[in-house]
Amino acid sequence: MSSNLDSLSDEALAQKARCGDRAAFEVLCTRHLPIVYNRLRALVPPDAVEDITQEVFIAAMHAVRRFHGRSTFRTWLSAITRHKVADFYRQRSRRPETTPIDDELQQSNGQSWEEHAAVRIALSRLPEHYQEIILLRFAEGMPFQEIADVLGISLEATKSRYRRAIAAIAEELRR
Amino acid sequence: MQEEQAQDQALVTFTDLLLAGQLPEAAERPPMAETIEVLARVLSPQQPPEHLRLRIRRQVLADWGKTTPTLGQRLRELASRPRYRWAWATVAALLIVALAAVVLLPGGGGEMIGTAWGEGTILPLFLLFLTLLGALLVAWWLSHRR
Repeated sequence: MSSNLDSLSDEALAQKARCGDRAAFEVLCTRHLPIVYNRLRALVPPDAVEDITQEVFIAAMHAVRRFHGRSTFRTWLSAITRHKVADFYRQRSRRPETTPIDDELQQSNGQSWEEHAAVRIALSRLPEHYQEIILLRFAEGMPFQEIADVLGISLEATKSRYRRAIAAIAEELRR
Repeated sequence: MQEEQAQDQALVTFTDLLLAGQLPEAAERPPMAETIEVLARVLSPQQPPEHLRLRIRRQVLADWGKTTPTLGQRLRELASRPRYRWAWATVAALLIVALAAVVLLPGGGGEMIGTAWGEGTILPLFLLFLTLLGALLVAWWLSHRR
């Protein structure tokens, strides 16, 4: 049963989940967990990543019957992720730059917390389309041709946007 | 223009090689190479921990029943969508026409010309059948439309 579901597209699985098929939703969770998790690692402090990842999937579960396929499931889930990140900073009255450093020191698993925090702050200051292309290439490991397909723009336009996004984040990191 | 495209390509090539771990030591470094190296270090994808996957699965198992809509909820939700309202209006109109035909036609409709059926209630039943068929077709279309 699960192997049958594994071969279905995200949108077909979402359609089944909408009609009450829990197994279909679980396949979607398994498929998209690495994407959501790695996006959140880039956007929120390390100690909040797991909780917010869980919140994203629970919110998706509650909202899946309102998913009508007007966008891809991936785009829809990205929107939920963005909302959850915004909620996180709003509810805690935090901006990315005011996250306690101690938390990160304990949670960063050896990675330089300064570097991680600097990148997170710089990313949070970028326009959404620049943030998106950086996350797709680095956090999701997506090749440029696939990024172009996901964004619905040409490969040349993708490369050009990428260069501008890198220039923008380089500028933010220098601040 | 061509110069910009060359810059785009240099950055893309550098990124691809770096992320693939195939960057030669003597590779030419484009402008902003350092930024790309920082991003690659900080944002490189990691496998989510297994306990997180299990935690989410447990939560889905616990909460799924609470979110599965009842038939009534589904119908209410379907009926409330603006783009489907005209379809429901069509179903309602079909039902009204059928009921009106049943009530207004004298003697329940009389004979059906050209058929072996001649007596009594054949026409109203036929109209009712058509109505139900129409309603079923509309319902099927609604449930299969993305």
